[in-house]
Amino acid sequence: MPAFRLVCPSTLGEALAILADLHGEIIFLNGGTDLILQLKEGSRRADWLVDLSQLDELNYIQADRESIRIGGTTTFATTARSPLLWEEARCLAQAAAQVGSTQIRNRATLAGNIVTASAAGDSLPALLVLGAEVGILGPLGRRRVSLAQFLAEPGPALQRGEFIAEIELPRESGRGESWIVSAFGKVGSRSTVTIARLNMAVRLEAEAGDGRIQAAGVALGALGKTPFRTGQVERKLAGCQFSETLGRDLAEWLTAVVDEAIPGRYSQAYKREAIRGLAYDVWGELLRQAVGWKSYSSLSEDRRK
Amino acid sequence: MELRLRVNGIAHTLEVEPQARLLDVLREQLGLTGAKEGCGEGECGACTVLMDGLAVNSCLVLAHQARGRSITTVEGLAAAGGLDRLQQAFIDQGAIQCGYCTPGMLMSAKALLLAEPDPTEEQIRLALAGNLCRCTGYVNIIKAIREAAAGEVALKDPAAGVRVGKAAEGERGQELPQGVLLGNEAGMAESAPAAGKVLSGEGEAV
Amino acid sequence: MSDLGAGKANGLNITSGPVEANLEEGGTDLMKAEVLKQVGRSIPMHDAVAKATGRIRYTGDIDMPGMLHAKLLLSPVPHARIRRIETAEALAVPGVWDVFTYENTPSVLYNSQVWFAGQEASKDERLFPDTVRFIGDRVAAVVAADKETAARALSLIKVEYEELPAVFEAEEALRPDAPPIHPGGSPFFSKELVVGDVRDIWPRAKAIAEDRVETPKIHHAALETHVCLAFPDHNGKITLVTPCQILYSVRLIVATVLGLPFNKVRVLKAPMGGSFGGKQEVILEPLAAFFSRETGRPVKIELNRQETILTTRTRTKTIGYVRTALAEDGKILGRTVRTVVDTGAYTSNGPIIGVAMGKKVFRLYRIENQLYRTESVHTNTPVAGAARGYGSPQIHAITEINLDHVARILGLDPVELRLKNLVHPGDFDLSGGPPLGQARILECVREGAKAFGWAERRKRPQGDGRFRRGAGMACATHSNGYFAAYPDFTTMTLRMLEDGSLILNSGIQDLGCGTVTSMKQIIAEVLEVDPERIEAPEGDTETSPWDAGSQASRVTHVAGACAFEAAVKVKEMLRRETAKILECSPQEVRLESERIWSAAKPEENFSYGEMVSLIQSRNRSEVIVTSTYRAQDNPGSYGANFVEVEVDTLTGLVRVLEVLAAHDVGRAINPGFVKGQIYGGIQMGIGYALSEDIAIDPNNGRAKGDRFSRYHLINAPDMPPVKVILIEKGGDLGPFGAKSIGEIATCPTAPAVVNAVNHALGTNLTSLPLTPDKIIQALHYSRH
Repeated sequence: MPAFRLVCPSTLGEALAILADLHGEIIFLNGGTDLILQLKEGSRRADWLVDLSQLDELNYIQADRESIRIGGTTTFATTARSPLLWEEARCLAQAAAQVGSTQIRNRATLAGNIVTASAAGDSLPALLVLGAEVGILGPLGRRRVSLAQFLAEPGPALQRGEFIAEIELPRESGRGESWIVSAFGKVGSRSTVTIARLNMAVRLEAEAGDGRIQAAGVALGALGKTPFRTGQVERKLAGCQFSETLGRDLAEWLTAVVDEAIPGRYSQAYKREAIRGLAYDVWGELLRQAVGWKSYSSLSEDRRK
Repeated sequence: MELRLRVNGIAHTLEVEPQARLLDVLREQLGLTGAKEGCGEGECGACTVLMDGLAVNSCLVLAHQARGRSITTVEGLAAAGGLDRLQQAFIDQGAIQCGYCTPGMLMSAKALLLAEPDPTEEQIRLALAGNLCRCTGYVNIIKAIREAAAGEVALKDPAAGVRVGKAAEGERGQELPQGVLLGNEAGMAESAPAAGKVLSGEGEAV
Repeated sequence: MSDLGAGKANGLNITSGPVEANLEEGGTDLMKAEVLKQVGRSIPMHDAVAKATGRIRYTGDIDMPGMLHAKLLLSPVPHARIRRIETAEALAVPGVWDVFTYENTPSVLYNSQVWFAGQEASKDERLFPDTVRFIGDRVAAVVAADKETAARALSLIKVEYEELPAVFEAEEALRPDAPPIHPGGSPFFSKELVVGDVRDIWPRAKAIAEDRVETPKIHHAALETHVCLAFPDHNGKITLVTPCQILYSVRLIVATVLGLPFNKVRVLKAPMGGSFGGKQEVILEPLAAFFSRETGRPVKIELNRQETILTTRTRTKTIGYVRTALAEDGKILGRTVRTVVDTGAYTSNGPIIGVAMGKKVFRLYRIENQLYRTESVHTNTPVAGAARGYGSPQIHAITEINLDHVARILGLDPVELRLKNLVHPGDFDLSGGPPLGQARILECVREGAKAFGWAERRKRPQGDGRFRRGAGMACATHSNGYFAAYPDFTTMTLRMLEDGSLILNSGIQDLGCGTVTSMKQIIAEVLEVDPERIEAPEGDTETSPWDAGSQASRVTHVAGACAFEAAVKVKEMLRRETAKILECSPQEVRLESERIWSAAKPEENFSYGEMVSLIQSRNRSEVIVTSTYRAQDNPGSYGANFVEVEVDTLTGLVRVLEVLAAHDVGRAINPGFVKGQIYGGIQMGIGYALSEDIAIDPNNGRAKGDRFSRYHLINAPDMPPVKVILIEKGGDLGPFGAKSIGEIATCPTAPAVVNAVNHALGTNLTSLPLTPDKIIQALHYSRH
């Protein structure tokens, strides 16, 4: 592993204070599950590594009236077992639970997943449909950008000395009599511990009465450089009544999205089919959740029957 | 660069290069060669050790990230001279063939049983998802973990709090530092946590 | 050998030699399962505790004072002449001891698979070639005080390549205009095996199926990567510590390359962290030996996963063309099978594997007209070689998938078709190979089908929704050693010590399958002792007798028979010597549970230790026997797998729901070990069918599956439940009738999985692995 110097602050204050003294390239180390391999193979180099992984101040999942805030050192394991997230941001908890293996989830963080911004990063579609904002700390203080904007940056989204301190999810109590469900799914080349060949998160806000969709979020990963929300599909869903058959429409619409996203790519033929399976899986999960709100029969073809 | 950590219950102060991975320090500086490097990228799990009771790939942790932490390797799984129930079950059930994946398998299994003393087969399989084995087809490994768990459960004192197994009764082993949260992680992919957990206004401390 | 059909169901059919006379013992028949005390027990492996506690030291765990570390520079280009290598900068790095390239290493050519002196083979490998032939070929090595320094120095070596045209696909290599990789080009080997005449069967056929089946280049994926340690002594001897399969192959090749007398190369078998054929060939050992001699220091070479995938060995990628003709009654009229074996950039044992494949096609079904033809080609891809099954998984995938195809055409149930055509116990090999022995594949299929509920599962509708179910099965055969192909014998020395404990001195190599414990059980059975009383260290070429190695599924059947004979002879000697002391006839001496006495005076009875001590002091004799066993048979091991799958027709993902494996193993010395082999073999076979592929990019020769994140083994959540049926009826010459299991265990799995998928989907998928992309593509075509 090429040489670097390592700084291990134990408080946030210490971390910020040290930054001023560091010259040369800085990389922040968090869970390290991607970075340590990159450093070892020499695909990334730095003069300084600042280890944030023991900043307990950033290890939290908290909620107030407006938002849920997830600290920058919170691991996927913690995210996956948060009752709060299972209740209010299920797609994120589901995505976290499907990242890598137990060992990886015990180290890897949401913040790290965002910085890596891999096309297949499992938390990203979930965070996108949840309208996540990224809280950034650095030598010039604190700033906040939407995840969508963060991912859209053509170059590095973080300035020198900046790191992700927090992820914030707006907490919408629902408009009057509405309800919210969300789900995440992925297709890999194995059922677990697999890099997504496709992943997707959907979030729906619907009227309690007739189940009319007021707002929809649909985000897809592994279909291009970065995960993205598909406005065209979201707009089609809005106003529709939440139902089993709508899942079939969604599957068709998403096939078109794949065709647009990766035309002529070798994987297009596969992904335009597989996205339908993924859509059914996710939709089935949404229907199951919605049972709590209103009786819907399951769309998913039960694989156990 | 100085590194202080506990390994198998023993406090160490070591001089460690910033680049060293936890696996390197365990194997080369402490002579604990139980953990193996099977892939170097966190896919095979042969390097699995416990860090404060949680399974981690020691090939993907810098040694200094373990400062102040408590590490348990396969060598520290049992009290001196004895065998942990899992080790005994692995031996009895024929869960060991070439043995190269065994230390990692045992540590993943240990982490599972610490968090979930009575796991379902599905939970066992998920807990081992990051540990590859070419010899056994996992069949006897899963059987051994079930058997060890059944023994642990049978032994369980209903008054006891966190289950830490036989070894924790000795001086070494899996005594868990205060504040470490052991969730039912392996099961999370399948189901939401039990309802009724109270979320305070300040949110959920972790 | 002429009497195979009459093989005794419960007997070790020894017809001659000194052993026979000793089988009688007070009316007890040693071979009957009901009287066996040690054989048939599932006791733990001898080193299980050391493995469970992390105390065992694999080669990579060993450190020696002054030990240096070598790291290899591997070629980044698929085919090139090396114009220039600049090593000065690397040599200048503090801590670097030396840098080696083709310019300062022996140019001796060798073939890494040769295991006995005088064996003929095409020699096209050397320590460092001056022309690199695949991405991953060895260019140079740095030997340094530590791994980090070696890696840093490696990056400072500058190599100028003159790139040459390359070929990556087997069938392209066959084209006359393909760039030659070695003089003469490809095919560099071809062979035909013929039985009967296939020319006139086609018009008589009721159904004919023709397929092109492709099997992938796969990685053995032992969890322990390749590693070797060598150190010189003060008298010019090099000692190697290596997890190898054939100690004497290591000695032969190291001595040849370094120009050393054989007795100046000492090879110690180290604990094996998995092998599966991948550590059968001699790859790192001559390098480590040479580096240690040049530096005068211990040198360790330990590859990482990517290096192990690229620069050691792989399973041959194989393309098979099969055409099978069925008569109306479902009998196989005849078959032609042609294989193109891609052995990668060096010859290794590609041709032998091609021939081994051919031998299998005559030993599973009664086929009177059959033609097998194989061609071996070189490609600019990682080198292929021995891999669990040695061609069997390839050829059985090729032929068993095709057999289901032809059954489909005739509308015949796959089990029915096989029952009509499978070989019977006592059958001959029509191609002239050794007789098949107690070939109990029919029982495997019948018992397996019943236990699996084949008929019901096969009838169950596949479904027409998103998830479809299917059931498939396949059969396979494999060998038991080298008899009739290569010299196959083993020598062992067994002695009983003054406390009644025993030491077996042999050249065995335990690959983590339980060889040591199996030998102990065999000896313990014969000598009426607890297996724990026996020490059976693995081989050391300086002190152990010669052995042909842990290869060719020969260990239990051949080496085990040697251990059996040695034990019988020790028992005979013990009787003889005891008779002198007790003043009775040897026939009167009784042995049981480590006690020995004369039938005439049962009250005067001794422990083995007491008696051995008496024999030493009074008879001035040691209880020691050296015995050579020459293999006299090579029966088939047989197995059938039954599989149910569920296919997601949208994502193309296959879930294997259940596997049942029925194997004819003759006798399970340790049923736990036998089942362990089967479970692991199935894991490997499912991966072969569905996900494992090193996948050389046809455009640039790069391996896509060069690390575990891109090369997916079946992990615990995807591993199905497995049921095992063992047919144990003995009858062949292995100890207690035992036959091999380690290799056959993986042979029927992949075709059974593929057949189940084809049953589920109504497809005829024949290109392994059945990736989701291929499945979706096939469904797409079948719809349009």
